[in-house]
Amino acid sequence: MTNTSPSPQNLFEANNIVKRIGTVVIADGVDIHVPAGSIVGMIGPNGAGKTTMLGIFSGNVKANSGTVVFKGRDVTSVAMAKRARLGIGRTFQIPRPFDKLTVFEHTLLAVQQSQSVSMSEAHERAIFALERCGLLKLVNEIGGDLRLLDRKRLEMARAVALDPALVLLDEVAGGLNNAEVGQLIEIVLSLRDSGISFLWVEHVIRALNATADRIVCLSGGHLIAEGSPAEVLAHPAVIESYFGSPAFMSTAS
Amino acid sequence: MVWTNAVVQGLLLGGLYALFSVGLSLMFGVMRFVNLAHGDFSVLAAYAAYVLVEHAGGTPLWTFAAVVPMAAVVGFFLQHFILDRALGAGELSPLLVTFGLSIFIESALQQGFGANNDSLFLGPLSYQSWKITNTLYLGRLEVIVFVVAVALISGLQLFLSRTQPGRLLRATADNPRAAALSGVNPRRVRALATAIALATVAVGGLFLAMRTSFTPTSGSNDLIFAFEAVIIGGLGSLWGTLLGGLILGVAQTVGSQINPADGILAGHLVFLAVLAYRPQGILAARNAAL
Repeated sequence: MTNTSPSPQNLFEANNIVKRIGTVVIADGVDIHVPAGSIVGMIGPNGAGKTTMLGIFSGNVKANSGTVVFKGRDVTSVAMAKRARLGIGRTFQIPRPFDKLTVFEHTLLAVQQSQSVSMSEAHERAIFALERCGLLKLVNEIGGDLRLLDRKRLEMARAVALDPALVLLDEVAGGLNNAEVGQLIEIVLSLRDSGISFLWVEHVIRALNATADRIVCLSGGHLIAEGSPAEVLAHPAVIESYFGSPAFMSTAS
Repeated sequence: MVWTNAVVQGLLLGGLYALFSVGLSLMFGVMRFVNLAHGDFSVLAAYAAYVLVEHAGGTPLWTFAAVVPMAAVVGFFLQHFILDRALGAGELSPLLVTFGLSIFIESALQQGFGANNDSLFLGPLSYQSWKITNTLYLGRLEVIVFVVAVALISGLQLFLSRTQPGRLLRATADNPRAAALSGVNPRRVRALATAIALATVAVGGLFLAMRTSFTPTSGSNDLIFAFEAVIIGGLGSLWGTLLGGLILGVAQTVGSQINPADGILAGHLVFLAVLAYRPQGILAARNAAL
């Protein structure tokens, strides 16, 4: 599926999102935009509702109000599976591969669901998605047998296999060591260069610092800061709500 | 020699049980609930064939072509409009809904056809047999049923492991949310699973009606055999279900050989033994299809 939409300025727009869970306000009129070809990072203190926001964007969580626009089309009431086929991929914080499918079958499934291509073409694309995420050596392994980094790669590959325009990443760098985070950054940057945009929720600031064009900080239902990584990470309100105390800032900048 | 005969007849009967059970196994694998109306759908299929033969005549064999696709369509819509709704309402609801369906189907059939035994008579095919030795005869119909059962289960296993719809079924069985993430509509996949389940149980129901007889309420009894075969073999594994069916069949015929009245009991005892000593079933879930 090639991207033939009437080239909207923003590939993805969430407008005026309101979401409450019980008495907790996750979002109280939040706007988030992802321009085509860019990487937008989202940070915020634990419990701010970042994952819930990704759920609203990918379609498995319903917002109380607000609209979600993708490629110029209102997808607010479109189900998760359909959004995936339209080109919104996502990964989950805790990767959960299919226990009994091979690595290859994971991406093949996604290719065949989202693109109508011949069998051999589907096989090629499935392999290509794995190659881009560094999983080529593990094509015949069973998903349930993979270790953490490979599980995370597989989540990425599964999203990439959809031939997506946008991938929502949920803390893919969490639990990885420094070298592994480095590999992940490489993968994301190369995917960005091939035309995929990202909205990346992450606690590992280093990863966002190395990749994001823009960072937003969600806290208490609002975006309390928005701008380049340097701007946002130095923003007093961010330091206050996210890092708690200036003493922790040394690692961030 | 009587024992050889008992075992061989048991294997042939077991093929039918397996055919009968494979849909139950598939639905459990994909949706994690036991369809308590499973047996009644086989009886429903038998009555549908019965009515078709009454009106259109001919050998009951042609009714496969009509009843099996019909069952698949019924399965698709049953899942789409009723069972999916129940699935959304908690673990217990699908059980209650299918239990209700079971009662409804049995009562409706009793209302329409009375409580008599009926059968689909195939003419000579019903009693002809091949002589192997002086003491071992293989009924033609029994052999045909067995061959169809093994072929159908093998085909279904290949379908699950080699085709895109099969992968969709396995992926949805494993993790519906992750499947949706790959662009899979879980509702459609569940409807496909139930369509296949009802189609296979219709084949089983027609063969059962040709081999023996059926009444409006025989579905509940059939469900117990199907359930036993699935549990003996291992939940969610199609090869396991085939094996479970064969073991149950052999247990029943060997039991009857010991004492003609105790065949069914012997099957139940084997089932109990498996539940007690290997509750995960003989082919454990590691190599299960779903």
